[in-house]
Amino acid sequence: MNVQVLNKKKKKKINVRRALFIAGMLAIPLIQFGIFFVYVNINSILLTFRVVDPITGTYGWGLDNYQDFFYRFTEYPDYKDAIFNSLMFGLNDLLLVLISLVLAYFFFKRIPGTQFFRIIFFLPSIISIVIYTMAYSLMFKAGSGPINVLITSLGGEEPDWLLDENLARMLVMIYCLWVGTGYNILIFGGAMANINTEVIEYAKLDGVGMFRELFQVILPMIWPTLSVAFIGSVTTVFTLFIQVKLIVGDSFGTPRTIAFLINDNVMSNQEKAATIGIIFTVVATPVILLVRKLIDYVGKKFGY
Amino acid sequence: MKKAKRKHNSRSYLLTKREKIILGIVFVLLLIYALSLIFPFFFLLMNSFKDEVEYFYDSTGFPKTPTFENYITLFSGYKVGTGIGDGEATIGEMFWNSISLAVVETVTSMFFTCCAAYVLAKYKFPGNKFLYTFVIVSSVVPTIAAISATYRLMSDIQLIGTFIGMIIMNCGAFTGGFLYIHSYFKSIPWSFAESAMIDGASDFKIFFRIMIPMAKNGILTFTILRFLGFWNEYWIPYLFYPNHPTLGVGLTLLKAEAVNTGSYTMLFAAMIVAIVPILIFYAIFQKQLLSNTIDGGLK
Repeated sequence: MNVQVLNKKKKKKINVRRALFIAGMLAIPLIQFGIFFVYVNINSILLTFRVVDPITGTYGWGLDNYQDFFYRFTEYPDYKDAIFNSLMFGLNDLLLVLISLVLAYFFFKRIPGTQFFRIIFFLPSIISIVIYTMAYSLMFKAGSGPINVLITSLGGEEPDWLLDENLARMLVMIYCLWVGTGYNILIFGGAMANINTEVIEYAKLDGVGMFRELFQVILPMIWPTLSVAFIGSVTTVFTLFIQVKLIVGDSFGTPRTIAFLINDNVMSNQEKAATIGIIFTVVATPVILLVRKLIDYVGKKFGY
Repeated sequence: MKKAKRKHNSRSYLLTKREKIILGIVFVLLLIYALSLIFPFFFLLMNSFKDEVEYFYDSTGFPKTPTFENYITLFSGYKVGTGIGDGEATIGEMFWNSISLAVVETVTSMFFTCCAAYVLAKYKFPGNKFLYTFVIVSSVVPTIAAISATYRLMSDIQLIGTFIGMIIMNCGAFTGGFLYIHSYFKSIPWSFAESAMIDGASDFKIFFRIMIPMAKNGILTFTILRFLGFWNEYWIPYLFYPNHPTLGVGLTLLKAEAVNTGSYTMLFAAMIVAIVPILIFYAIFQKQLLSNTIDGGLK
């Protein structure tokens, strides 16, 4: 009887210690998560209903921020332009995935110098985006940028890269392709390297050419990696802004995106920033989920 | 090794002549592309040894009379305005701001990630499944509006511009890599812990002495990735730590100054100085980074 009581006591003591251990390990992570995810996201919804009087600084509650958003959306071109620019960058990201996929296929074929390419292609992931965007925009600097020097030496006229919105957008799109291609080649190439070589050999012996090999043999096998990249392209529509900010800056010809509008107002008008953010979150969530479903459907339908 | 060789051969010996020509063309294209990725830094390096006049008249040529003046000025306490009051910062201070933030943010966030991931992976308790599901859902839902509410919160509790504020904000456990580390711990057999328990080891001891060393490869990879992420971060320090510019923020300040004064060659020198530590870091951890991120298929 005494032994039983002692065992029970010992077990209880261990359970209490374990509970304390679990609580101790989770306490700070949960408090941080509660504040910086749960509270912040709830507050970002509340902020959209907060109306600040610009003269007195006092605030009340209402739908004014939403009214302002829809008024601006219908009467001014900036929000529509932002959606257009964001969609263009999303499509550009899709193009990036496709270019990288084709190049990764050849990379997978083990062209000479694979190790050299791996090291160089990973550089944009290592070096700060500030340095890469700065170095890139210096290539197009009026008067001294090598690209501009090349254009003028060929008898052309220096373009106003940063003043014309179309050119500025193109500049940012080329940048995204430039830094993203190498990294995606490595990711897709890594996925292709995991494919069983016998599958490729059988296909080859059956007389399958490069095109069919890529789209009918390899693509189904790397579909999960590819689907992550496709979803990334959709996410880009709602999140890309830092490249625009660092390459073009904030001027008349800046191709502003949805995320640019949000982040541009973070310091000065959090209510406005939150309203734009919430409205586009409401749009983004079903779009992303739909794309996920669509990708899964395509994967299943075509045996991917 | 033999397997790798076989893999390599099996992919090349079956190629037709036409396919080999296509591969040759792609090789040339990739080579041009690879060189384009490093050319801007060669351009920066070359011009960092010129004075402003020489850069103005000949930006694409090699320096005629190479000078270290830009580097000397940079390291002799040259200050750039932070744009916050009369605030100024030297390149040394920017380095310190970057390294101190990146190290402390990486250590704290990785520590809490390991704690939370381990407990959720290995212990059964009420709410475990709910918490895990909630974390997964939270990583899927786009939270593009959260930045404004975060700024409001940090502003209200007066933590903007403070080191502790940056750490509190960035020490989150459930960020990138949490699910991977969770699965690393999940894959470690519990029998190791049971044996240790019989020997009288406490839960803490099991975590620190057995589980952490067993998951060290995964933890190291995400520690490196997180460090790089924090080191290269621009927008968060710009918004929340403006009075203490990190290297990224400092470079944009230097660029703004160069646009006004024409001191571009100094900006180039600063950019080269900012790249060097990360290249050394890359040289040390290159194998770890490439094998665990690319070959492991992380994205």
